[in-house]
Amino acid sequence: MLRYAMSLPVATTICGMDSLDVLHQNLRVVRGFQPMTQSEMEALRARCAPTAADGRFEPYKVSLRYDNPMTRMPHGFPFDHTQREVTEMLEKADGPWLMPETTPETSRR
Amino acid sequence: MVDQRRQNERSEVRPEIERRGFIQAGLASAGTVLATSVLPSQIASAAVPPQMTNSGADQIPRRPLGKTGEQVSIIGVGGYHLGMVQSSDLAVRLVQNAVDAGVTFFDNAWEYNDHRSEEWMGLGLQGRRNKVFLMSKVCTHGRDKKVAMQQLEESLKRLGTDHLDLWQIHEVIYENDPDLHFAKGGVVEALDEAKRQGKVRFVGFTGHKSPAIHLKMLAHDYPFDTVQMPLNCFDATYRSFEQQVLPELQRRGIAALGMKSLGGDGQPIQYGVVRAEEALRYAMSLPVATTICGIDSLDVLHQNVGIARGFKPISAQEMQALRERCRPSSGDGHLELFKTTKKYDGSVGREQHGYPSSAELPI
Repeated sequence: MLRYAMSLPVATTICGMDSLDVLHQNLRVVRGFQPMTQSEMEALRARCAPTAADGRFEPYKVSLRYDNPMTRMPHGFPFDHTQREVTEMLEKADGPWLMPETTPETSRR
Repeated sequence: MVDQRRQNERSEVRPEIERRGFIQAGLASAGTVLATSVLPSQIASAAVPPQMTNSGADQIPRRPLGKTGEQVSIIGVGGYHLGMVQSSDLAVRLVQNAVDAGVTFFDNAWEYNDHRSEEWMGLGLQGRRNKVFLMSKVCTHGRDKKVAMQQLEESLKRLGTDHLDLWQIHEVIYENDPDLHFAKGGVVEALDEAKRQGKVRFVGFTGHKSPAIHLKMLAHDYPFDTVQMPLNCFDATYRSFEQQVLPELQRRGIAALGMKSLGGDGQPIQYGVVRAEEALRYAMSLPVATTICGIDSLDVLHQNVGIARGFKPISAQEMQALRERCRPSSGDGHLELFKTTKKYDGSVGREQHGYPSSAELPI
């Protein structure tokens, strides 16, 4: 997957690295990197297409879970606690901005 | 509140909504003041809806269904909600009262509520079948023509009729759906076959997820008569079917069928962003043939019939004002959860694609 991403016409690929193991793994992939061929990329796209089609492996596109609460608040978007992805977003964020009594109604003032 | 059986349906992860509550909220005009956008509008002025007939003060108007030569009532009864009421008796009364009030468009799908929706609509239409324009949907979700034709026979039997006026491919919501439907031996061939056999008169497709997927279906240039999609005052400024798909349908002379005029579950009305009446009037003022409504009580039926009777489209200025009012709360899609979550994605379709059910997903 990393080789695919790096073979696109991008300047760099930003990687989440939270251990020395991951850092070393990524360095191994990068050192002497040669881009994949068009046909290799096409084959990988085709292999992924059936599982990609509902977007569940790209939750930043199909849920609110990756949306930073700090960016929702200036818009006035509510935190609807009946939505599982919203509660998980808030748990994950765990910031001082969390208002325990926030409801769709109160946050919409 | 929502009864136990309903919680067990595919809606189980939706917030509990008491529909009666938001009708009243709507009538009470509980509008909350929202900051209006100062941005200049980027939306072209609304296209004019097709000319209406049957437009007396106490009549439900009708509009032409694209190029088919048919006329349909400007509101339609949605099959999904019909199958969720507490008894078949109530479902039958809803259907009968709707027909007698002048509603002619009836929506359904093979898979709704384990087929109960079609069964109950069929009971309600006994003796009234020839007064309505009856639609159901085929739910192959990628399976072949043979499965489609089998489903058609089952739909006809449950609905108590020898033909459907309209048969649509249901829930085209996954990126690979257009490829699957147009594959050799796929459901599109079943549409042709069913028309040849005289079992369906017109054909179309539906979906609630993505304008891009709708456009991918249209790019095949298949002679669809209708296309169904969410159309509401929030959609207008968020991943918009109104902006991206509706003009293409007009260009092609394909009838647009609107749905989810209240955001799918009425949350915008509950939150007090819009009133039910203004949201429905907005949807009905778009260039659509009909707006399909979830009707699960006599109160909702009477409310919607009241709005439809003697209906006059709202002006382009009023529509634009409503879009602007809704824009700030539209921007993250939280009022159109059918676009932004998996909650509305049917279990049959997910299973056929090999996806876990929406309830099993961690998102």
